[in-house]
This record gives sequence, structure tokens and C-alpha cells, in this order.
Amino acid sequence: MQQFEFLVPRSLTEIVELMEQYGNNCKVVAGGTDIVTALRENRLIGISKLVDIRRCPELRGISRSEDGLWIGAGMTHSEIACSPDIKSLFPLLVEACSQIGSKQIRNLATLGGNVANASPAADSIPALLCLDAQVRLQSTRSKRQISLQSYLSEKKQRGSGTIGELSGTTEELVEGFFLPFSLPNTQAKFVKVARRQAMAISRLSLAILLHRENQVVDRVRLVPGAMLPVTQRLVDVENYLSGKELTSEVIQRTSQLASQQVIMETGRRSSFEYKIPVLEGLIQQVLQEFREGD
Amino acid sequence: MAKKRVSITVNGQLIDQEIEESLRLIDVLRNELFLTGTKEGCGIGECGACTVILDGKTVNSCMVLALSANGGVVETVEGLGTHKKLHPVQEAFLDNHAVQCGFCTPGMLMSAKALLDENPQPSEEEIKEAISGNLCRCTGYVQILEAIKKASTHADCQNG
Amino acid sequence: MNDNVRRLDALAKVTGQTQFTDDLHLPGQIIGKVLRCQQTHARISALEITEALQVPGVLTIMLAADLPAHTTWSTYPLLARERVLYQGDAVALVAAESEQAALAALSKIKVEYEPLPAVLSIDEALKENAPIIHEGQIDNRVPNSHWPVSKGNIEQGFAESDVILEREYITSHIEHAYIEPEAVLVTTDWDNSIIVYGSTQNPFNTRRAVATATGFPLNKVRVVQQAVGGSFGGKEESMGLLASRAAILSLQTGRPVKMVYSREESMVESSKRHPFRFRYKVGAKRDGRIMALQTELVDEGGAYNFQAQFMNWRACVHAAGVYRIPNVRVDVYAVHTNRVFSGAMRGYSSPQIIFAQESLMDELALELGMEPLELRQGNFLQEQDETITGQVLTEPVNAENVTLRALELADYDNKRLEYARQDLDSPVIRGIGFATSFRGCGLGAESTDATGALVSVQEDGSIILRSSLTDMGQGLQTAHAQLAAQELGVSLERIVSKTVDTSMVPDGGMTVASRGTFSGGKPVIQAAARIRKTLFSVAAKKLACEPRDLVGEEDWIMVRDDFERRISFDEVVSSAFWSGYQLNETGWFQPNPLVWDHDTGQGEAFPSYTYGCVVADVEINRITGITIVKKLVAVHDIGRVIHPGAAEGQVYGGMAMGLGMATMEELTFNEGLITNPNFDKYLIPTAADMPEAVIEFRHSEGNSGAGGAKSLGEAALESVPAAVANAIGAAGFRIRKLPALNEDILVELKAGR
Repeated sequence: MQQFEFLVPRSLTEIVELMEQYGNNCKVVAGGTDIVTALRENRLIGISKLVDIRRCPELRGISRSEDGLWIGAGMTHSEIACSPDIKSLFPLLVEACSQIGSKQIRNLATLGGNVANASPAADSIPALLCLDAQVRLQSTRSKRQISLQSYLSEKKQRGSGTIGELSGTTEELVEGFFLPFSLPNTQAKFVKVARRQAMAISRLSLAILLHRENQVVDRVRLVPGAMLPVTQRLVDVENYLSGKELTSEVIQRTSQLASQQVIMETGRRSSFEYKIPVLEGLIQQVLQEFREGD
Repeated sequence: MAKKRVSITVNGQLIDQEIEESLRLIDVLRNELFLTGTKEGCGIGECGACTVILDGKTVNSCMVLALSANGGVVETVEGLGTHKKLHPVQEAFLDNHAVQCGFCTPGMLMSAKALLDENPQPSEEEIKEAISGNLCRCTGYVQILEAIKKASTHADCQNG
Repeated sequence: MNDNVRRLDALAKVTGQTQFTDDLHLPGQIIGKVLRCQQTHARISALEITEALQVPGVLTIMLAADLPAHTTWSTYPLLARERVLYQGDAVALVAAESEQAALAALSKIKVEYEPLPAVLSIDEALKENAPIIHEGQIDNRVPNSHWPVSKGNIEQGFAESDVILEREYITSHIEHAYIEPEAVLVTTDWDNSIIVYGSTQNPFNTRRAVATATGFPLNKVRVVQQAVGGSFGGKEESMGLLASRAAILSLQTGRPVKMVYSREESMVESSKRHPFRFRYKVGAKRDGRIMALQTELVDEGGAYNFQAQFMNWRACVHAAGVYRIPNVRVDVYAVHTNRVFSGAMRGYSSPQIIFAQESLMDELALELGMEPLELRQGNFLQEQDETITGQVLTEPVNAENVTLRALELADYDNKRLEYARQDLDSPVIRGIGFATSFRGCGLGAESTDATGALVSVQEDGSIILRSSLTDMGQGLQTAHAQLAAQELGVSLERIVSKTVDTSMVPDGGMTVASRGTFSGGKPVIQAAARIRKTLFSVAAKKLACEPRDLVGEEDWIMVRDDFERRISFDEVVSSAFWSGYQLNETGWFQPNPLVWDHDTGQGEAFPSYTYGCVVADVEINRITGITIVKKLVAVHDIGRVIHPGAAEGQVYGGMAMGLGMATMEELTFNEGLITNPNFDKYLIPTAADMPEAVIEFRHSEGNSGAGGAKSLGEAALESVPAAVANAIGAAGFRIRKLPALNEDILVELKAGR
């Protein structure tokens, strides 16, 4: 186990100050499920300080505003899965978070941690992207709110070192997420494909969110998980589906476009021999379910 | 090696002592407090043998840095019951042959207890979900699920 | 008997009081660790420890040259000297005050390796000019691991067949995945003998290993078995190495040494279930009678070998399944590779073989246009039939009976029809299939099935029971106590069953082959019976009758049918004790020697056999290829059931282990190095994966087991993977390799439909 100093700041301000002060030598720890594993395997290169943010009150809480819901980054997956607000407003997020790890992991691991770690197999991310989640970031110098997609792209560009290494925190802390209210009658589904029925890393996952007005799709989000280096919406596919009705041909074409877009993004991986047909099949199945759900 | 003070309530008793910063909660329980009922099976939060209840929720104690649990309330198997007075779920495990090698048992019991505290009349699905993070290689889980179901109809559990 | 008592050891387990090895602490104990090479095959060209020695808290670092006595145990090097043969070979031994210091020292040891050509599969091992892994051998076959069977005339058998089928089946490395990793604590006694506290399935083997490694005579090494958190055959080679290394460090430093494996260490350096490559050729008449079976079974032994020579014998006996076949040729042999070594795992080749051979039966049935049951009914062994190894079965043979009952319980006929008509557009495909097997009980002709036990009645009537065999979770202590209690006519509460302490019980061989009750119960009954005889002679004098008039029941010794004339067990014991009678007996069971001819593979293999059938009902997701086992039904003939709850527990556990082997478990490698050495990537079933499970035991009499009980531990597992494979086959996807992963099923799905 790596050696480190464990700092316990008492406020959000103090947290970001420590992050500024120690830069790449420190890492914030919420639930700790990713960090502790990395420590055990000596993968936290150059980290000498851990900053405890698990119970910081400013990172916790779920509250409604006029346009949407605020979820503190420190909320655990269990809390999210049990939250009456999230269950009624964003069942897609509940579906995703309730399948992460085991109950013990869900009781500890946080939404913020899942996003900040940004593993390609992270289950919450496809759901959050479909829900147009915004990430609020704070540092000593600035406070900004950007789309989750931008956050993930920025992270990727900054680079995270060799695979498996968790590099030091940059000075921005993920404070929480803002999810704008969905339109009424929005349909959404999260599918997880794994090798066993519980406590399993996703082999691949899929989140689709759809709204139709008089049968015509006027809003759609489609995100495959555990397939792309940076999980993202398949925007070209979404554009294709917008303005159309869910006929068999459209559903078929949508699934094909999706796999094409994935291959274009990443090239052909060996795992794709399995994942591509499964992705296509799942997209078709979900869209058919949506169509029948009328 | 630097030390810091940690204050945790374990099985109702306040523990206040200096520990090395890198210790996990499981290390404090097993090696500082000699509460060896909690076991380490994998070290990465995948087997659940280290399950304890922290602030009312089950967690893998191998994944919690001890200092992160500062001020918290921890329940381990040692606090569940004694030879003289067993918790209903312990009695149920004994009566339903839910114990073979016994290594996963403490973690299982804590997951069961946490479930019954929150949900005194769980469905079979809910029981399965509650213990899906506790691996067992001996029993095939059936008698464990039956034991928890039986314990859930016991009066003590219903009173919460 | 047939009593569902609470297990004797369970109270301590549910209160967290049981002391597993890592729960023990001795003052002054230090931590031992090894440095593993993480190479498949290499020469050690440089090894530098000066920097590591400087780490604060490090007491000693030992290399191969520093070992005090033998440098290998069995074929396993305690530390590699010049050449490493697989990933887990250790090159240095470190003892330090803390785990942190030990790990820091490991990271500072500098080793340079010159890679050598590596052999990484069965096929590679058998290639014409494959590198020879073990010096002095002419090829990579594991010595003495070849067991042939030759019965009848194989060429003629095929000539008489109307249909001939040839198939190849493959199984993968399986990890025991006991939840408790290996652990030892070694210290010295006041007389400088060594004490080893350990999580060991076979304490006497561990003792032998430590004696070999330290040069101590056996009487100066004492192994005290702690509660074992699961073993399933896996804590054998690794425990021998672990205990030896810890003992060496303890002698070197003069301190107690604790060594506990991380899960990764446990997976890298512990034996695995042998992967097998099966090539079967079967010939049958149109009416289904099997005329000839020829099979080559090759198992991957890995870098070192301890057991293939024993395991492959059992393999050859069971290679053709529970069928009557007149012409048979079997060849089993193991090969070395530069991968992790294989060893004993619950079943000892049977789950792999049954998968191959029962799959073959279903494939043959399909070829003949027969139902799977129909084909088997025409070939099942019956009483007075001869097995492929020439043994005439004189005890009841229930292969067909357990099969019919299991199929009935599973509603097989209706399901089969229903699934045959299933909608091709439905998102899931169902299949139902089964596998029937038999298993020789105990060690049979493999090695001597002799074992012992001590029963010691104390002056106050309390009883100490010590078996030579271990309880590693399966409930042996309770089963033996039940046998002793029944024999003595006393309540179970009187009896304390102790773990194995090698200085206190005779060496009764390994607790393997599901012999714990079948064989291990016999000396318990014997010893108890002798004590009963003594007590009855004392009681007879007091009751003025003959000993043969007495019965012992519920803590009383009384005249048969004359309840009034009785005396309490306690009173008789006290009287006997103070009169100087012997109330401690050692029972020893020595079986009749079984005759076996190596070259023909004919002889008397086992004294008794169990019979079992498992039916699996699966659901395959058409899009993802994921197979979910929805229901398992198991019917077993194990003679008499001593403890129903424990027996069911064995079967449920076997179901979980079997479905894991069928659908999700395999060790994965990248160029010979394990890529999934922990539970995040080596998946075993969770509670959510367990199907609906139905169990029935079919009672039978006339077997040679203790208390009329045959074996169960391994029988509980061995047919499950085959049943699942046959269910998947019935759904339309014949799997010839385990595990049947979703990827493999999907390939079949895309190909077929």
C-alpha cells in the first residue's frame, strides 16, 4: 500500500485550496473505491496527499430548481437509486446507478467519483449524457458549469498517463451535476451486458432516451457504454433518428448507423466481433420496446 | 511513518487512538482492535468478506480508509450477538445450515442485518440483492437466502 | 442418524469467534513474503538484494543458496536457483517487521531474466520439437501420468458400428476461489520443534513439506490445522510451499513468521483444475447400443506436478461414463507447460470428463435420431454389468433410477416439447438438458484408503473426537461426531470434534476423494464401538446381565426391552474410569487391497459407487448470447444421508461451482501470464446467479461406506457443467469448450440462425 498523508478539509473552499496547493501530488477521495484499489497496486504515481471529500456537506444533497435537479457529486449510487426525486424525474439514472458494483460498493462510491474517474465502462456516464447532464466545476480561480461531454473530452485531451495510472487531480473539483427536467412522456432505458447477474463490470452498456410528438422523434440521445475510449453520444445517429417515426426500417438503420459510427470512432477492436452485433441488437430491441410502449 | 488520530464508534464502544494514515478500516478492526471476525478475501471490494456496517450502510471495509471513517459508527459481527444472545439472523443461519467453511459468514450476516434493519420484510429479490456482493464458494447461497427469509419473520427483526 | 443438528463449529463461525489462521497473533511475529518472477520461462542472470536489505524493518532476505536443507519439495522449488518455469516461481524470500516493509523490500530487489522459449499450451507441449521444460525428460509428458484402459477389441467394435462420431472437447483452467486465501503462522515450541498453524486441507502433507524444507524429522514438526476457509483441493501445493518458506524464515530469524497470500498471489501460485483436451471416437449400432469408445484425454499439468499420476488413474476409470461398453481404449496423460501448475480440484478430473463424455452422448443421440434419454437407457450400467475397467457391479446400480427421477422432477418431457416449439422471434431461447454420472467412492485403487481416528471419553462423560481427516467447511467434524454419538448411544452435545493436529492423530492420508465420511467415518465407528464394548461389560456387571443384552440410547445404557434396568452413561463411565479401564481408542481402517493392472486398466477400481443426475434448464438471450441457468435439479444416490442440511449444502454448493465452470469461469492468459488474478475479472457466481434448485437424495443400501453413507462432496459438482452444456445444446448451440461465454454463444447464434 502506498504511503500518503490524509487531509480532511472542512469546506469546499478548503478543498479547492488544497488542490491548488498540491496540484499533481494530491488526489481527492470521496467513496475511495477507485483510489484504494489504485493505492493497493501502487498505481497512484507521485501522489503523496489524499484529500478527504466524502462527507463535505457542500458536495452532498439533491435539490430541485426551476429548470432541473441538482445532484451533489458526493451522493452515493445507493442514495441516487433510492431518491424519490431521481426515481420520479430520471429513472434512467436510477437504472444505471443501481447496477454499479455491489450494494456495498454502491453505498460508498459516489456519482462524482464515477464521473471523475471516467472509466470507459462507467455505468453512470451513458445515463448522464442522455440526460444532458451538466457538470459544475470549482477551483480557487473559477467556478464553471459545462456539459458532461465537454468535461469528458477535456479530460481526455489533458491525458491521464499510462493506462491504469491515476494521475493527480487538476485543480478543478467536480462539485455536482445539474440535470434539466425531461419532457413529459420521455422514454428512456439503460441496458447492461455483463458476464454475470450482479457485481460485474459492464462488457458493454447502452442508454437511450427518446421523446416523440405524434409518433415523430423530436428528441433523442443514444450512448453506448464500454465501447469508446471516451463515452459519448452518437450524435450522427441521433440526427438521423430525429424527425422520423420508429418504423422497422428506421430502427434497423439506426442500429447500423450506430455501429458504423462506433467503428469510425475507434477502428475495429477484437472485442467488436462480439460488441457490434450486440449493440445493434440491443438498439433494435430498445427502440422496438419504445415503439410498443405507445 | 506518520500517525493521525482517529475516533470511531465500534460496536457501541468509542475508539480513539493514533493510527498510521494509510490504514484501511479493515486494518484497524483486525490489527488494532483485534476484531478478527471481519475477513479479507480479495482486497479490492469484490468478495464482500470484509463487509461491515458504517453509519447504517454496508461497505467493504477493505475499501474504506480508516481516517475517512473518522467520527463514524461501525458495526461488525462481534457486535451482532454473543453465545448467550444471538441475533435472529445468526440463529437462522445455524438452523438453516447456512454455514460451511464460515469465512464469508460474518460479511453475509452484516449484509443481512443491514437489510433487515432497513426492510424487515424483504422479498426474495431484495434478499438476493442484499447479499449479491458477498461471494460464497461453499454453500451455493440457497440456505443463506432461506435463513435470511426465516429471520425476517422473527419478532425481534420486525421491531427494527 | 439422518439428523439435522446444528453443526458443531457453526456457533463460533456465526459469532466471528472462529480463529482462521490470519486471525492468530503471536507476540513478536514478523511477516514473510516472496518475490515472484512473473516470467513464463527464463534464466536468472542477475539478482541483487543490497538495496532491499537497507529497507528499515527488514530482518532477512534469503535466496536459493541460503536454504537450509532440500531446495525443492515434491517437484516444486522453494526458491528458484537458475531457471524459472512459470509466473509464480519465487526467487527470494523476505522477512520483515511489517507487511509494508516486506513489500518495500520486494520492490527493491533487482532481478534480471533472460527469457527462454516457453511452452504455453497442450498443443505446443506436444509439438515435434517443443522445448523440453524439465531436464532429463525426453518430452513434456508428466512422468507416470499415463493410464491406459484396454478392453475387448477396439477395431472390431468400430467395425461393428453403424454410426461413428469423432469429437474434440476442451476445458479451461479453473481456480478454486476459496474465499480465504492461503495463510500460515509458524513458530517454535519450547523444545525447538516447529509448530505450523495453517489453513491446510492435508496437514500431514504440509508436515512432510516443512520437514523436507527444514531437514527436521517428522516428529519435530507439528502442524495444527486451523479452521479452513474453503479448499476444494487447492490448498495443497501452495500450502506446502507457504509453510516451508515460513518455517525457513522462522528458523533463520528466531521469530514467529506469518505468511498470508494476497488474492493475486493465491491465484498465481496455487494449483488449478487441469484443463483438458478430449478426443473422443464413439461407435454405435443404429439401435443405440454403443459398441466402441476410444478416447485420448490430455491434461495440462503446468510447470510442476504433484498429482497427475493419481488423478489420471481416476480419469481413466470414468472416461467412458456410466455405460456398458464392450470395446474400449482410453489413454490419459498429462503434459508440462510453462504455465501455472494444475492439481486437485473437487472432482479430480470428473467435471471435465463428464462434460466431454455426456456432451458426446447427446451428440450421438442427435446423430442417431434418438432422444438423449433413450440412448442412455440402452447403455446404462445395471447391476451385474461390467464397467469399462472390468469390475462387476454387485452393489445396487441406480444410474437409470436417479435419471428418471431427476427428469420427472424437472418436468423434462413437457419442457422438451415446449422448447422444441418455441417462437424463433422471442428474445430468449430455452433449452433443457441433463447429465448422468457415477463416481467411485474414496481412493479406490488409486492409493491406500487407510485412515484413523481417536475417540477419548473423559471421566465426566464428555468426549473428545479427533479424526485424521480435516473439516475444511464440508461438515466432517459434525458428521463424525454424529457417527460416534450413534455408536455410543449418547447425545451430540457431549462431543467436541477437534481440528487435525499432526502430533495427536495418526496420518490418515489426505482428505480428498470425498472419503471423509465414506472412509474416514469407519475408524470413528470402530473406536467408538470398542469403547462401547468396554462400557457395556462394566454396565453388565452392575445390571447383572450379559453385555449382549444391553443397548445404549440417549445417554443411558439399558437392558433391551426392560427400560427399568438401566444406568446412566455418566455413571458407567465414572465407574469404568476409576476402575482403570481404557476409555481411549484409536480406530484404524485399512481397506482390502484392490487389484489393478496398469497396462490394461482392468481391475477392481472402487469398493462402491455413487450415482447422480443433474438436469439444467437454461435461457439464452438471443441478442447478447448470455446464458442464464434458470433451474437445476439434482438427484443423488449416496446411500444413507447422515445430515440432510449438510448434504444439501454440498449439492447447492456444487451447483454454484458447476454453473460457474459452465458459464463464467476461466483463467485468462496473455502469453502465459495470468490476466485475471482477482475476483474483479475471475468471476464466480453470486447469489443473483443461483437458479431455482431442487435436490433429492435417493436412499440405497448395501454399500461399504461408514454408516451406510457413500461419497457426496465431489459428486455434488461433477455433473453440473455437463448438464448446462447439454441444455445449451438442446437449445440448438452445441458447446464443445467450457466456459460457454456469451461471446461463444453469440458466434453460434449468428452462424445458425
